[in-house]
Amino acid sequence: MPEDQAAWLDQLRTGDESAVRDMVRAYGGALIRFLGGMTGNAADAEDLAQEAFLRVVSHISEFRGEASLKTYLFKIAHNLALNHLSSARQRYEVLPDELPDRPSPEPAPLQAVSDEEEARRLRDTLVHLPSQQRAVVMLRTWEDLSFKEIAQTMSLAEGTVKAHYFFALRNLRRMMEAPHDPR
Amino acid sequence: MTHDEALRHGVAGGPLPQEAQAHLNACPDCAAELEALRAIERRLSRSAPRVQEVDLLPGRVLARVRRSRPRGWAMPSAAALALAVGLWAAWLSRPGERPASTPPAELASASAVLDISGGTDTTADLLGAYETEAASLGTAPPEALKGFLSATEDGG
Repeated sequence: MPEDQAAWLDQLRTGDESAVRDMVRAYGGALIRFLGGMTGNAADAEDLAQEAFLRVVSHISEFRGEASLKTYLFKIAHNLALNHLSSARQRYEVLPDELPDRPSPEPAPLQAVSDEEEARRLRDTLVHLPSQQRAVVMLRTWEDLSFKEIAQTMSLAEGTVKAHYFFALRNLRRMMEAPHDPR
Repeated sequence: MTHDEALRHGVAGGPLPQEAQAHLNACPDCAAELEALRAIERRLSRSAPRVQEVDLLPGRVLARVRRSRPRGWAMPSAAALALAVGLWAAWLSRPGERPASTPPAELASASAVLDISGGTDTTADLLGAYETEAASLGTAPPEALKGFLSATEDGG
């Protein structure tokens, strides 16, 4: 990825395929990871990532550069993910009050599991968050976006994003500490 | 400031507002919860999954980009080629005018008819244009067409 975003955008606007390839290499993994977390399905994640890149290329002339290209890509990806979840009726909405009674996917306490196992537990638990909280957590902790960038990505006020983040962390903590259902 | 407001400031990063700091100093429950939330945050940062097979993504995206391009940009060369072939075929069908192997000077150069290049290297131009377009569409010019155009060039 060129250091100078403007130069890179110029290349994309001229239809330079090497610039498209560089963009996909730079952000493809992050986009698939984010979309996988949103949809819960690897194949859907790649399809939606392809669609996001295609839309960026198709509409690059409309991109004014107010936000970074990365933020622009995540914004498109986020919208695609929401549309996908809506059309498939796959929203994982969980009322916070229900969380303490909801069994976590794995029974072992955090301290007793390996790092990889703990990471897998967290990812599995993320699925149970409301979609907006899930998106904020992934963009913040996985992709290292600032709250301002997340706000641009999700078309929300920065304060709203921070509130989603707080409630997401609290919900995750409750879910992770919930006693295992022996069923 | 409420407990949740203080905690929200606490996990948002950056300098804490004085009021939030005062609340956290005075409320051990909030201080403990903030530490637990920050621990979850640290664990989340280490939980990002590795994405596999991303190497194939650039090629797949580029294929879709090429398919999505408006076809209009490619049509002039295709239309020019089709028109040239049509005119050439029409000329060949004219009875008794000229031997089939000798195209008329005004039609030997398709560029003269089509006014697309004005050069004398029309066959090469047309074949080159066709090949450029075909490459963008992922196809190659048929050998029969290459042969036809070469024969035309030789005859001109």
